[in-house]
Amino acid sequence: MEGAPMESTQPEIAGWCREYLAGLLEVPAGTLDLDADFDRLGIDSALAVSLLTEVEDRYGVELAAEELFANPSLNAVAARLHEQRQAQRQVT
Amino acid sequence: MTLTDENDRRAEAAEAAAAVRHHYDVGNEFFALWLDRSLTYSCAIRAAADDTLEAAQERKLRFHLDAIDAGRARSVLDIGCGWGSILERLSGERGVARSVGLTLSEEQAAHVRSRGHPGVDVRTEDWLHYSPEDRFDGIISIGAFEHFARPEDSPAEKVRRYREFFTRTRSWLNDGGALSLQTIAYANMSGAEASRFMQQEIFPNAELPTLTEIVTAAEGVFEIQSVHNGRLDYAWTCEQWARRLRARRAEAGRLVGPEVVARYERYLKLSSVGFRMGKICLLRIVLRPFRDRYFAAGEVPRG
Repeated sequence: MEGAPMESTQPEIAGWCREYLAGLLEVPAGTLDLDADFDRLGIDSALAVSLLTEVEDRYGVELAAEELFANPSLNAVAARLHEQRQAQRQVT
Repeated sequence: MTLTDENDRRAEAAEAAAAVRHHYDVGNEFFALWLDRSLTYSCAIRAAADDTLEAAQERKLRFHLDAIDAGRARSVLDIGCGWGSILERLSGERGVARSVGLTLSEEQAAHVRSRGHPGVDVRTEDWLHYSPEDRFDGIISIGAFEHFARPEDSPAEKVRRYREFFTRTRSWLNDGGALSLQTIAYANMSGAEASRFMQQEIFPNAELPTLTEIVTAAEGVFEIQSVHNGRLDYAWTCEQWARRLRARRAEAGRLVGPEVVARYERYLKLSSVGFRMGKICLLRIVLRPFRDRYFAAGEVPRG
């Protein structure tokens, strides 16, 4: 998969994650609240792992399963990913 | 036992061996890329936030060795010995004179033999077909129980298989001995959900026990001395492995192909999420034989 541009903003990342999960859940993306916790969105273990894997491939940062539980909404995950990408950018 | 039973049994044993090889004979070099130095492929015990995988695995090995009082044991059996991290410590630091390791994986057996640990005998044999000449003072079994039952087994059939394991291991132990068992188990999951979860490609033909099934199967055979649930230890262990494998992804891909690497990465993540959600748990159970005699000369009951 093509990597996402380095300058992706946090809302863009959240939006992409929402589209991706909506596809797996077979619901319109608009029905997924960005601040709802993953239980409310109906995320099971298989979907959680698919999300972890996809964001790693797309955004090139590692997200441990543990972090999904510490940041259990789309906005929180996006914030975490954005933060990690910024940190990575400063190193390279 | 009829001849048909015996044939069925051999066919079943062959399938079990094939399932184990599917998972473990991917190649020792592949596992060496992401396991710790002792090649321990089972849940560690994490005690501090800054624990290394190495230290946490060493603590886990110590837990089981202490549970059977390995320092005082003359002989120990390891069922599902993997790459021999328990056997190495029995032979070395604990000075056990005779240790036997059982595995179904030829690659693992060859690896253990190549290390030449004194007093260690490794056999490529199913516990169903094993019959030792002498009894043991201790038995350790880590990460083997997960392979004993099959997805199509009814709960009664699973209990029957587990009970056979307990009955046999009881008969191989001295009265004062102990069995230290570690296995993954189903926890907060329905039966249907559980089978979907396990059928995800890595462990075909495997079926996890529940704690109730284990306790029922041990009834009247072993006393359960302690039960620990280390599910968050295992979530952490899987995350460590996933991170290490990802860091060596390119090398791993050259060894076993990118599809196999992706399958393992997914499996490790799925397991870690499953442990964090409490869908599956990690049981460390220490069992002692129920005794036939209560006043054997000079023996003070331990435990």
